[in-house]
Amino acid sequence: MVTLVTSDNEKFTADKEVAERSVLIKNMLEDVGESDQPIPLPNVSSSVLKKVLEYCEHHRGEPLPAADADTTQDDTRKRTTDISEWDQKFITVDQEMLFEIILAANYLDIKSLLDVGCKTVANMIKGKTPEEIRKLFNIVNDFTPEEEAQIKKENEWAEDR
Amino acid sequence: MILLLLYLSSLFLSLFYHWHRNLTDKAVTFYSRRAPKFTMAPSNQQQANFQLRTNMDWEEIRRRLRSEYGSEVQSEAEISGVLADVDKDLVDCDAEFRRLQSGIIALQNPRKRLEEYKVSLRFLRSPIRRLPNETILRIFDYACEMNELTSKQLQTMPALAISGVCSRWRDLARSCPELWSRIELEMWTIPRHLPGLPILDLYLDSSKQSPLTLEFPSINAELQAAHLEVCAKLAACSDRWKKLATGPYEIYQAMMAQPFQFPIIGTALSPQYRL
Repeated sequence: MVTLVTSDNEKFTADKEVAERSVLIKNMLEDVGESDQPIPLPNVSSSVLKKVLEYCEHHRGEPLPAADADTTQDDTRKRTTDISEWDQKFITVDQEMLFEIILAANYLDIKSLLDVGCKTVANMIKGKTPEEIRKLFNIVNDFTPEEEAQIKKENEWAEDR
Repeated sequence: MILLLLYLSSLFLSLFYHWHRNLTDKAVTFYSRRAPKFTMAPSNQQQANFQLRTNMDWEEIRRRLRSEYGSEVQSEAEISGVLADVDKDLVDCDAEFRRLQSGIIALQNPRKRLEEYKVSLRFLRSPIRRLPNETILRIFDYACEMNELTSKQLQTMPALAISGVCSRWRDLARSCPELWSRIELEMWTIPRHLPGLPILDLYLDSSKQSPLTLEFPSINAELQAAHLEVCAKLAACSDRWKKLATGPYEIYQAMMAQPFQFPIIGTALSPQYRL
């Protein structure tokens, strides 16, 4: 078993096989060798780690993606935003938690979870206008008047008037 | 006899005077009693001090409307003074209305600015801002699976839509040629007033040297000059073709019409041809 300590000082214990789905934790365990020392995770809160461990537990035993999977993404990575049913249900959370999970997956280096998060956000973006995207994510239009004029011109080419 | 006549006439005059005075007083009281002072809520400029001259006694006027007919109808002189007061009150009401209205307009601008400021403050702590650039680009890569350049809708051109959201997204999208390299064209819907399809130029420029995926799903096949122009534009960058899927064979033919080089092509599909 592995003990993990979150940013809000909560302790979680998990099977080594489950915790090692995080490349970061796997490397840390390899570095410290056989030890009962808890592993501090200062960038992950308890509510987020609980979700991350739920994901790792569900996908326990599945093959991990190759370390260099990203570098050859254009050739090999299947560019599809399909998400399995269980993952979809798992990632149905509020926006705050969704981005926290993505940040944690990035920090803990769990590629499959990072992909589920990124695909979910991509699906939210797809089929929307810039204004709809801004509204969805509380993004402010911070363009200069010159940029605005350029964007307007580009959009004119895109839309048949 | 004369004395008696004088006495009677003075009595009559006195009665008439009292009757008339009573009636006039009543009318004045009826219409012109000062209404209570209205104090308006203080505005940012000045406090209103608006007072009506007219006291509207609806009960009394209804009674008179229902009873004063024929000889009972009073002379115009009786109500002309009151009507004048009502007109003055209406003028004052309009002036007060305009003052309040300008106060509202004066408030609308700072209110709008406050709303915008609030939105900007909220965006500062928006969770999506915390994502690092490489994660945002990963999201964009998934979102830009395909760009339908002839759809006439921004919603189906994700690279263009993303680059119109905010400055950070625009910079990131422009720094990633792959997002612009997956292009779908429905040849038969190319806008006639946009010869050469300028949006295609934008995508080909923004995709820089990135390998291209080109799809032509159309099944109708009768190439016009505008279509051949687009084919020529795409043929000029055949060294970047990585995947080419043409519905009609005529498009495939037009694309392959000249001796081009295809150093990186992996797939070229048409209904009749398969490389």
